[in-house]
Amino acid sequence: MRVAGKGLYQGAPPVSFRFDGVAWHGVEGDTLASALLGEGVRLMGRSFKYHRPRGVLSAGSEEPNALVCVDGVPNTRATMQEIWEGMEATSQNARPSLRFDVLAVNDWLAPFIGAGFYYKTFMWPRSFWERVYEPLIRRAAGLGRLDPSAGPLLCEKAWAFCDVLVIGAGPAGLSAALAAGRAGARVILADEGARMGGRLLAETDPLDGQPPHLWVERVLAELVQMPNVRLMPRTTVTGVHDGGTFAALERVSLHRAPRADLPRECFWRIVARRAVLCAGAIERPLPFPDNDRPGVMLAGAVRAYLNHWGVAAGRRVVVFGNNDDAHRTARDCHAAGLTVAALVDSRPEAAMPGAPFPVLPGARIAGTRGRLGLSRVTVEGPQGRQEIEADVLAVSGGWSPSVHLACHLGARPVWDDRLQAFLPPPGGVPWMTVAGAAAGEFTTAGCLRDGWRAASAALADLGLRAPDPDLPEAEGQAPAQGPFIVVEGRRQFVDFQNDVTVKDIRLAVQEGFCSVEHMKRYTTLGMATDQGKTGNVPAIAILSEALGSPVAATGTTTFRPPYTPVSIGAMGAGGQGMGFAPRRLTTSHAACLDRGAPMIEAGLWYRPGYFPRPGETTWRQSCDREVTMVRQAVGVADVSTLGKIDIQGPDAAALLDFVYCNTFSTLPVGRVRYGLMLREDGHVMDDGTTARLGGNRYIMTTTTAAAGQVMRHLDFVTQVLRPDLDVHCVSVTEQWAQFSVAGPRSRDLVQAVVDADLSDAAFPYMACAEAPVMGVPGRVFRISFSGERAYELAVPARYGASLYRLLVAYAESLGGGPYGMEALNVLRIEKGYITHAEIHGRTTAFDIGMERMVSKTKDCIGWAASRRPGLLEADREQLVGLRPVAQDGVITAGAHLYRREDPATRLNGQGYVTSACWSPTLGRALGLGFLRRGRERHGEVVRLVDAMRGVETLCEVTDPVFLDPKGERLRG
Amino acid sequence: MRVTCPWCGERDRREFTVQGDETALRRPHRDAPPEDWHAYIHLRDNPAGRLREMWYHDPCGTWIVVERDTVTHAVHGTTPAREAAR
Amino acid sequence: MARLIATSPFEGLSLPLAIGGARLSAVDPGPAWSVAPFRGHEAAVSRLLGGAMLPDPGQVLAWGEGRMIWVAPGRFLLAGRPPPEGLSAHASVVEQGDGLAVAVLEGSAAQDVLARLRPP
Repeated sequence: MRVAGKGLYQGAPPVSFRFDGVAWHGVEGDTLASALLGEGVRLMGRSFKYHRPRGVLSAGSEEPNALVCVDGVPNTRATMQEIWEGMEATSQNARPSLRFDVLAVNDWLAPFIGAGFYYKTFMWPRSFWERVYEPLIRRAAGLGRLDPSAGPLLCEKAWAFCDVLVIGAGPAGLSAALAAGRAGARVILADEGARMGGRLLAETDPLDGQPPHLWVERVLAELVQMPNVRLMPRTTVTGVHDGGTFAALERVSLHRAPRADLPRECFWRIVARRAVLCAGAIERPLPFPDNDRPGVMLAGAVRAYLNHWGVAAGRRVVVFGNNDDAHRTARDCHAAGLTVAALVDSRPEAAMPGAPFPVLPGARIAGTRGRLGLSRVTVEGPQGRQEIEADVLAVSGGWSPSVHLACHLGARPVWDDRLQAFLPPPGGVPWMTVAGAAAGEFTTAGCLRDGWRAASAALADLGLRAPDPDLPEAEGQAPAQGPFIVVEGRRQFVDFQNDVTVKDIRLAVQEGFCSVEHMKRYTTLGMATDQGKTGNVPAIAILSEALGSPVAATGTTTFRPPYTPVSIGAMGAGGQGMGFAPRRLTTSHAACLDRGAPMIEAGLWYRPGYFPRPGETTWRQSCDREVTMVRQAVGVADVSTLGKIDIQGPDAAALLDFVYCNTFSTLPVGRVRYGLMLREDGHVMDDGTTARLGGNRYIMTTTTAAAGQVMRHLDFVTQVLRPDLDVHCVSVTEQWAQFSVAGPRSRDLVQAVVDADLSDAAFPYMACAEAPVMGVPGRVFRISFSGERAYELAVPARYGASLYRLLVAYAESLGGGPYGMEALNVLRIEKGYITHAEIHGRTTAFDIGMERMVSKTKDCIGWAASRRPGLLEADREQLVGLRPVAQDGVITAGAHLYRREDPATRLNGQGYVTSACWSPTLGRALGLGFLRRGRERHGEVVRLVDAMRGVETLCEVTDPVFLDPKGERLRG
Repeated sequence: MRVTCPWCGERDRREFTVQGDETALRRPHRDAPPEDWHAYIHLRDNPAGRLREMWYHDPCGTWIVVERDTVTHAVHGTTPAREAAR
Repeated sequence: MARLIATSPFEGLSLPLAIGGARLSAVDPGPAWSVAPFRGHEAAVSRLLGGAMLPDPGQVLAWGEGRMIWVAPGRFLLAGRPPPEGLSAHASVVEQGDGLAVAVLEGSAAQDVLARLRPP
C-alpha cells in the first residue's frame, strides 16, 4: 500500500500496466515490484523446483524470487524493471496461474527431490532416458520461456574511455566522482539503478541535517554540469577484464515502451586508467523454517520501498535480525505510521531503549504461516513461544560487501571475523580500489570519506591533484553485528531461486561434497540467475559449521563476469545479418547487380557467381554458356580482389628470390612470372604472379584469401628475417581495379582500349607494361587463368566501374560478355590450374607437380624443411586429373578415391578430390584431386566414393591439364 | 586488452594480429642440421608466466615483440621486432 | 572515342547524411602517394621535397599546399601534391589515392557515433 507523504515520487504522473492480465496502477519512477506492493500484491512468482508461492525479497538486482516476463524478455527482475504506460508483465513457472499452480505438487514431493536427486534416479529402465525422462525434465526445468516468434532484441555496442571509472553512485561513489570530477579527470560514474544515490535514497538518516536525497541531487547537479564527467545511470558494470577494460550493460530503453529508433540495451566496453569500486553491500536473509513466504523480505528492502518509493510492504510488520541495522526498519516503519508488531533480535544483549514497539532480544522466528501471503509468524525466545500476526517479516542477517568485481581477475576475498564479512582482496585488480560498504565500511560518514580517499589515490596515480574534501555531516555509528544463526527445523531456504535448503547443504557434506565448489555444484546453490547474491555467504557459514571448520578456511567459489545476466543480443549487437562482417565490394559491383548476377562471398569480398541471360533458369545453364563464350569468343571478369603488392627497392629481386621458391632475379623488365610461396615448414602457402614493371619495381599478386597474410609475411621478412634488404612493400589491392579479358578475341578487345602495341611479337604471353587504358594511366598483363589467350587490365580504382561497363559492352559486340566465378572455376579446372582447394595447407610443391620450381641453389622460406625425406616420398598423394569413365559420371569435391577392387574403407583410401565441375568443353564431369603415386598411375581406373552424397563413380586418372596441354591457345 | 605499439601508442588488441612465439626471430641457416629446423618450426615452450610473442600492428604494418604474462595477462612491454632481432 | 568516368568510393551511399547531432560527408582526398626512402637516401628525399623535415610518428606536416602524413616507420603519405620529379630514384613511390575513402564526421554526436564503431 502507498504511504501518504513518503517516497521520492509523490505527485509523479500515474502509469497503468498489467500483470498476469490484471490491470494495476503505479507512478513514474516505480519499479514493477514497488508498484505491485503499492497495490497490495505480494504474490509475484513460483519457485523453481518446488513451485512454492513467492513474493519479492529485495529492492535490487540481487532479487531471487520476483522474476517475470516483460515484453517477451523472460527472467526480468521486477525490482529492476521500471513500469511504463501499457506495459504487459507475466509471471513465470506457474500453470495455470500464480494462485493455483499444478506443479505445486512438487512441494509435497520435497522429501524425494532434494539436492542431487537426479544423480540417483532416472536410471531405469535405460530406454526411458531419451524417450521419457529427458523430454519431461526439459519441459519441467528452466525458468521463464523464450518467445520464438519474438524478433531479436534491438541492441548496440559501444566503447568509452576515461581516466577514472567510478562504479556505483551511493555515498562512496558520489563522493569519489565529485573528487575526481573537480580535479579535472575524465570521469565516468555508472550505477545500475535508474536513479543515482544508492542507499542514500533508501535511508532517512540526515546528511548535513537534511533528507539524504537532497545532497544526492546537489551533487548530481554539479556533476552533470562538468564536461569531463559522464553520468551513466541504469548501467551495470558487469565485468572486470584485462588491461583496464570493463564491460557494462546499459538499459537504454527497457524502462519505456519499445521504439524503433532506440536500442533496448547497449553493451559497453569501458577502458579506464583507474577505477573505484563503490558497489555497496547486499543484505543477507536468515534461514528459519518457511522463511520464503510472500511477505518475508530483507529489512533494508522494506526501508527502501518505504523511503524511496513511499510504499509499505504491509500493515503489520515484524522485524527479525542479528544486528543493529535491522532496528532502523522497525524505527522507520513505526515513524511512517505502520504497526510494528515486534522487533525480534537473536542477540540476547540487544536493546532499543524507549522503543515504541515490543522488542524481543535473544529470540528467533521458528515458523511462518500463510501460503499465498504471510499472515502469522511464530517467535521462540526466553519468554517462551508466541504467535504474532504480521503481513511483512523484515529479515536481516547482516550485510555482505559486493566484492564480485574485485575478484573477477581470479583473486579470492578475505574473511573478516569482526565484520562477519568477506572483504575484497587487496590488489585483486591492480588498477582498481574499493571504497565504502564494498570495502566493509558500514557508516555513511565512513563511506563518504572512503570514496573521497579512494578517488584521491587514483588521481595521485594519474598525476592529478585531489581537491580538498567537501563532505556533508553524516551518521557514523557502525551497526553492531551478531553471529550468523540457523533456526533449526524444516524448509529453511538459503538459495531462494534454486530452492536450496539448509538440509541440502548438510546432505552435500554427508555425501562427501565438502569443498565449497563441490557443494555448489551438488546442490546448485548459487547457480541461478542471481548467482547466489543473497545466499552464498549464509551457505558458506552453514557449510563451515557442518564441516567444523572456520569460514576463512571454507572460502568462496570463483567469481566470474558477468555480475548480472547480459543478453547475448547485447554482446553480439550489430553482428547480425549484414552487420556480421564488413563487406568489400569491387568497382563492378553495381554493374553486376544490374545484370542480375547473384553475388557470392569470397572472404569479405562479394563476387558475381554468374550472369543469367533471359531464358536461363539454372546456374549451370549460365555457367556452361559463359565457359563456352570464353573459349570461343571473349569474356570479361573482375579480378580486383586478388592481393596486389608493390615492391620497390635496390633489393627487390633479392626479396622475391627469398620469399618465392623459384627465381625472380632473372625476370626481365616487362615480363611476368608465376611464383610459388612456401611456408617455413615446406608446404605451399600461396601462389600468384609477379610482374617486373621497371628496374627495381615489381608488382606481386596473391590469391584473394591470402592477401593479408602475404602482406604480413612480407613485412615479417623485411623487418625481421632480412633487415639487410633495402626494399619497401606496399599493398595496392584497393588502388587498382583489375579485369581479366579472356578468349580468342581478347586481343581485339584490349587493343581497342589500350594505347600500346599488343601484337604477339611486341607483347607475347607473360609480358607486362604500363600503358594508357582509355587515356588514363594503366597496366596490362598478358596472363591467363582460363587457358585462353588473355590479358589483365588495371586502372586506378576510380575508373573501375566505368571501364568494366565499357569492356563488357565491347565484349558483347564481339560475341562475348561478362563471366562469373562459376565459369572462372570451370575454365581453370579444365586447364588443371590450382587454387587453395589444391594448395590447402598440407600440400607441397612436390605434391602439385612443381618440385622443379624449387630452386636448389638459393635459400628461400621453406627451402630447408621442403627437403625433408617425408615430403619427397614417392608414396605421397600427388595432383592428378579425374575423368569419369561413363559420360554421365558424377564427380564431387571431397569424395575419396580407392583402387577399383578395394572396398571403400578408411584404410583403403588412396586419395581425395579437391575440385570438380561439369565441363561443357569436354562434355563430361572433371575433377582434380590427390592420389597416392598419382603421376605414375595415369590411365588407371579408380573408384570415387562420396559416402555423404551417395555418389560412386569409376574414374580414369589423367594429367591434370585436360585441355590444350601444350598451351597453344595461351600463346596464340 | 591493451597493447602499446612503439610508434602508435596504446591500442586495443583488435588492431593486432598475433603470430606466435618470438622463436620465429631466430631463423637457422639454410644448411643447419634438421634438428635446428625442427625446433625452429615446431618446438615451443608453453610457460605459465612470462613469454615473448610476435605481434603485428595492422594499421602501421610493423612487427613487435610483446612480453606478456600468460597467468596474470599483464603486458610487460613491447619492442620493435627489428631491434629484438639484432 | 568514349572516355572513362571517375566514380567516388561513396557512390550510391547517399552522402552527405545528417541524422540527429551527426553529419557525414564525403571528401575527395585527391591524389596521394606512399613514400618510403631507400636506405641512406633520407637526406636526398628531404632535399627533393624542398628541405622539408620528414614527419615523426603520428605527425602531419604541411608541404606547400599538400601534406606529409606519417603512416609507418620509414614511410609517409604525400597528399594533395604530386611527388617531385626524380623522387622514385631515392624512395619507393606508390600511388595510394584510389585506395582511400575519406569522409568527415562532425557535429555534437560525432564522438558518440565513433564510440559505436571502434575502440578508443
